[in-house]
Amino acid sequence: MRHPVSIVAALAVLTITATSCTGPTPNDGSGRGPITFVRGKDISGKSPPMLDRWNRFHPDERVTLVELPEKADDQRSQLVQYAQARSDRFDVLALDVVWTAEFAARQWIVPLDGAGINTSRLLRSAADTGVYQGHRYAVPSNTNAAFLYYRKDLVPIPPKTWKELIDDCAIARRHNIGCYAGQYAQYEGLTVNVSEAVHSAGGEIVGNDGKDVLVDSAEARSGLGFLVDGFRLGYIPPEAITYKEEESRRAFQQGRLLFLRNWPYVYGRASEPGSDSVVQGRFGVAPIPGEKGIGKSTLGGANLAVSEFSRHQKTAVDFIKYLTGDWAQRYMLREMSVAPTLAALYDDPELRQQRPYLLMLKQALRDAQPRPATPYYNEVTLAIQRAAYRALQGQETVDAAVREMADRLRRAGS
Amino acid sequence: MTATGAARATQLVVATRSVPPRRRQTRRDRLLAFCLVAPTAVFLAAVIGYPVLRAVWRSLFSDPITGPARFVGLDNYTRALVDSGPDSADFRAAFQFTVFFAAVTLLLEVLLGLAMALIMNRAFRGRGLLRTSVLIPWGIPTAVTALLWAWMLQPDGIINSVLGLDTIWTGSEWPAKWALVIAETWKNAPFVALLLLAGLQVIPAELYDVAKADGAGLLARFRYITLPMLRPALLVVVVFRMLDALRVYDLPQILTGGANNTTTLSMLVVDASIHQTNYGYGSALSTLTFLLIFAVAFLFIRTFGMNVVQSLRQGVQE
Repeated sequence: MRHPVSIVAALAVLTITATSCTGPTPNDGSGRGPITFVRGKDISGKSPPMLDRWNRFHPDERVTLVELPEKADDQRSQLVQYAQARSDRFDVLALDVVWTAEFAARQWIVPLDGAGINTSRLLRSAADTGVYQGHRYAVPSNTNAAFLYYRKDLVPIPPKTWKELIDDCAIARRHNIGCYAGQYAQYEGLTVNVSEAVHSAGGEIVGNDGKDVLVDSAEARSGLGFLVDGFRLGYIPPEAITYKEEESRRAFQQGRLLFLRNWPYVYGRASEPGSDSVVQGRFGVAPIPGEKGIGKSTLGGANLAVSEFSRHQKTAVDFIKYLTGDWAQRYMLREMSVAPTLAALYDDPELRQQRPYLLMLKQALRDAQPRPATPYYNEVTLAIQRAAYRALQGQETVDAAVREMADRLRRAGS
Repeated sequence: MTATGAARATQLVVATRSVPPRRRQTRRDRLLAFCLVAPTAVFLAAVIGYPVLRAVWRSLFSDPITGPARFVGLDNYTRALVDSGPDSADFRAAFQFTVFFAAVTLLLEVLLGLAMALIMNRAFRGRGLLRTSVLIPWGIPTAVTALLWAWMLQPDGIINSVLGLDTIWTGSEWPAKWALVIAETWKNAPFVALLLLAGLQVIPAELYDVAKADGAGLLARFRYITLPMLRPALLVVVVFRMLDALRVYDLPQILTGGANNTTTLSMLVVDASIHQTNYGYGSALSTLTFLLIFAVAFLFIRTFGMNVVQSLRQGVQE
């Protein structure tokens, strides 16, 4: 034999392959016991007391927290790797609303239809993001919708329509500052902004099933056109093409913008004493404007789901009920500044006093629209981002961009 | 030929050593040799051979949402190379940008690196300090480099204020491409300079003295002494930098996120296999990238490596 070495190597390779292909033994998953809750990085750092409270009441079913990186893409790829390995490491998963369909379609999370979770007390729009093909796979623990931040020292009444907003831009010109901006760099935030503009003009990107491509419409053209014209006519400053959430927040806080589309977190940051904000006490929040009236925000937030590979699924379901229950939801709003999904909290007078924007957030959430619910979300969002970005840069007409978007969306997942 | 050249060199080296008379290999010798080599061979097969072969094998299968992957032959490859869909357009664009990026950064890095090496090779006060400080950009992690440049290139950043521009660097195609080229060159030119400096230092000073005595000017000395003597070091530099540039991922991922036609092949691979969980298609893309880099390296060493050996031999014979 000329190459005994290669045979040994081949054998070693075979052994490695064989062992890596046998996962853990399947389980019926109905048990109770300690569980692990995995979520993105908790920036507020306030989740431990919430988990401690659960642990006090459930000494035999204690929960351990695992925090993944802050960036959504990194969280997702880690969760995917564990799921691919059919690992029972995690029991309760916090998923971005847009991943829910994919995890459900891949059967990495279990249907919760018969688990006795009452979702009627939750905000309707948020609750719907946990449903895939008619079955409930996840329960939203927190949600999100966009606001229009405006300089109330310069604009007495916030605009309700795009036309009013564009008219108000004369004020920005007089003060030599930019007029309006959202997030237009090529990343997930662009999908959020474009889908918001399309919905606010009465259009849709895909149908409710996540499959029918509806973007090739006059309404969608008008929505994307509002953003494209912004860059073309200058009511959106040119540097906004590089804005993500933080860049746009800084521009507004430093007094360089009259109007800003952003999430509720900006409210706290821009009013914080000692921050680099020059607009403290000089800005207000309003619902985002639309084509013919108040616009429709894109829905954000996180969904809780039970891993298919969890061995303590009964405990996991109970823990989800706990996190979406009254005490935890109230705690999340008060201590962690996230928007709860429990509808009743938005009408709570005490909480309204603490968070003056709560009523407006409730209205925004009622009208908010989800991004496409599809297992191929990554391809879909890339299709939207690329076509829209080229149109915003003026490299492509709105019409061509919408047609390209529709074409790419139809091919996604084929 | 490379092979004969190398063989000759080996013979030369071997001949000068005192070699004990060759003993007939016994069975025990062969067994011992096998046992000594086996652990390394198994290790290499496990960490290099297995992943490469596994990726090639996986690239022949489909990417279903649920259920087992189906054998699809070369479909994933035709999807990237031939089909008229968006995937082949993406692959073409990434291929073009990667090649552009590698070629331009390589050229700039070699020119700048050579200039820096020539300066550092001269004797002057503070040379040690200069040599150390030049290396700093190379010592900074790429992710930090990318963030650094991202901040400096912001519309209201230092670059625009110093140069009096209002370019939106990461907002349109060519500024974004040049931003990447500049950041990459800034980071890697010192590495090139370091390797070339090592090459410069082995050139005997007598050669220059003799040339000077013969009346060769500065340019002539550079052209006929420095460049030919620097060739082996240049070859190493070019191969290293070219392979690195062809598989670049971190810098564009952080600085531009692949927007404005700055997606590289490696970014496409990560996007397909990690973000979209299309392991089959992702494996096909990674195999294609691997083949491209392998082919470039192979061709390069075949073409220029031969010349290096030849020029060395000529040098010896003359």
